[in-house]
Amino acid sequence: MKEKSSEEKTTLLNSVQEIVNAPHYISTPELEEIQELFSGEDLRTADVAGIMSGSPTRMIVLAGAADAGKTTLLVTIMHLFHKGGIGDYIFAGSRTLPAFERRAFDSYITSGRSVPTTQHTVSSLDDIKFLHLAVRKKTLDEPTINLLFTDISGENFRQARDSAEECKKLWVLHRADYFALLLDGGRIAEPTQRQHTKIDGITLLRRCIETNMLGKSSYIDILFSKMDILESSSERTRALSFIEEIKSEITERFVSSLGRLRFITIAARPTEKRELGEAYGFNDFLPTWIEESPFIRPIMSSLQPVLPQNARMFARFGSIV
Amino acid sequence: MIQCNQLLVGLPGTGKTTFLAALYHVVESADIEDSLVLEKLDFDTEYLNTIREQWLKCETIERTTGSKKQVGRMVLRVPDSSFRAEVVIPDLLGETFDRQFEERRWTKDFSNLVASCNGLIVFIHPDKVVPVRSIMEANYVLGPGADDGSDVTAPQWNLKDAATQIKMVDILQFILNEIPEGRLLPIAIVISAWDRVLDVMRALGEPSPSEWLGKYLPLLNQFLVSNFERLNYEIFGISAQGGDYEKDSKKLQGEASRRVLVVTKTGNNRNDISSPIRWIMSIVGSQTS
Repeated sequence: MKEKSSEEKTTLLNSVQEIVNAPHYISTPELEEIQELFSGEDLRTADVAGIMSGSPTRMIVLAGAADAGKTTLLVTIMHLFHKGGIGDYIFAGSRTLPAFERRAFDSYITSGRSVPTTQHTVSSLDDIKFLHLAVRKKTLDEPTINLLFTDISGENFRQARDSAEECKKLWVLHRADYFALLLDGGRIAEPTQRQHTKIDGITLLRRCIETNMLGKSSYIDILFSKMDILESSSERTRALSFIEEIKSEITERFVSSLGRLRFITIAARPTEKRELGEAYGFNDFLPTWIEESPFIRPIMSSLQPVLPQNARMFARFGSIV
Repeated sequence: MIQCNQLLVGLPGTGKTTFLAALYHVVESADIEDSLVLEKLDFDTEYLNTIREQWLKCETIERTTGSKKQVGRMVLRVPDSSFRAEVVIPDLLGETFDRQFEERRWTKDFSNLVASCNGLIVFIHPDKVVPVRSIMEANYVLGPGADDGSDVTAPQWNLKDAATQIKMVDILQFILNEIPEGRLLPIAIVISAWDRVLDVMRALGEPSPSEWLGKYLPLLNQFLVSNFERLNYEIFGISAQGGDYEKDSKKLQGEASRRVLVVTKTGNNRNDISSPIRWIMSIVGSQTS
């Protein structure tokens, strides 16, 4: 092959130099050094540990059967910030904005739907993932608080309900500031679904307590979801009375084993009884999820749970409050 | 003299280049009393002259995509003062930021720009804002029967369709991640084409750019407010064109510098398009003194 003359080499070098100097928007990926940025997708354990080491963090486990409204609750919380904040709190950032957007898509007009829906979560207890939201008080006189939400599928909770071994894979419960169990108010309004909904929730709670995944250091919120459906149902009176039965039974059986137990009725995005308004009932639990934690109570010093192997990564990051 | 590198950040068509064209004209001509003045002209100004010419002719500015870096580099001085700054402003295509958001990566070249920048000028164009459109809220407005369950063929979710405020927050998060802890980044938010929203905002009794941002991009507004330890921000409503080139052609025939409209966060009107640059210079100056 004929060697290039020095003039040709210079021309070639100049051309290359010109490409290298070109604005980065000209597509020259083979010559550009690329830096990956955070993906915006669900966080894994290692990512979560990094966030927890930086600022006070609340971890919230959303539990319940498939279709109970776990993901819808998450999407609605984010939507409230899209519109201007929640109560005394404003948005301060998120490492998972695209992950929230993906989940919210079927509630947006761009999805082509006329009724908002939420895709089923597919997850694995061997690889629990999280969504992140940073919030701050409007007064700005307190530090930013990180909220980490699990998005675990209803199928995984069914497995945990049925098997102690599977339940013990829910290691996040040891670190969770809140365990929010959603019971579907729409199903409670259905006479044929009512009993099953109650038993399903109570059995999961019992399994978590008996496997020591939940205990005296656990804050439990039982959220009766889709109350718009229940409130507009012909079974309303019986369903409300059934909810009172559920409250009594759960309180009687479990309150002495838990750090705190609350019952709250909610409707994330009412389609039936619209006067309830978006995020009905959220003010009854969301501010406390931000402000209160079992890990900042004095009682915790004598009740440190024994962490399973998977949870050791979290334990290394002591900055909980 | 201080170094004051400023990065223009904005999605496509948000007015970055028009701003740069008008800025160059105003500081070079010294038409506007109390505006920053161009002290030295010892850099290559081919690009700046080209876009300035288009701006003076009231033409829509066409971005060139030649191989030379399109950088505005000027030594600017505060009038009646010795306070000077070398201001370097690369003019990047809006698609750059779109791609960063969608592909979740940027070039080392861009990373270096971020690392060396002393302040950001972030552009939002009111006509280009993609809002968050919730089905539930639309159904509430449309009333009973709107949610009849008749779904059209659902398109696939695509990150590029995300709302403007989601994109802008994520882009700012990318940039802030590169800024060392403890360094306060000045961010001038420019609501461009301000003339297009002025009447609406006046009718609402909320004539300031701050109120516009809180109303139309609340997530971004909350992010700016809550991250005060990482950033220092100021909001400007700016019309670099001064109006619509077709509809307002008569009004725009006067002295070019005077057609620029700049509204500060408190609603005060000025013609000084160098205000955001000057504000960033003052922050950088106070940090270095």
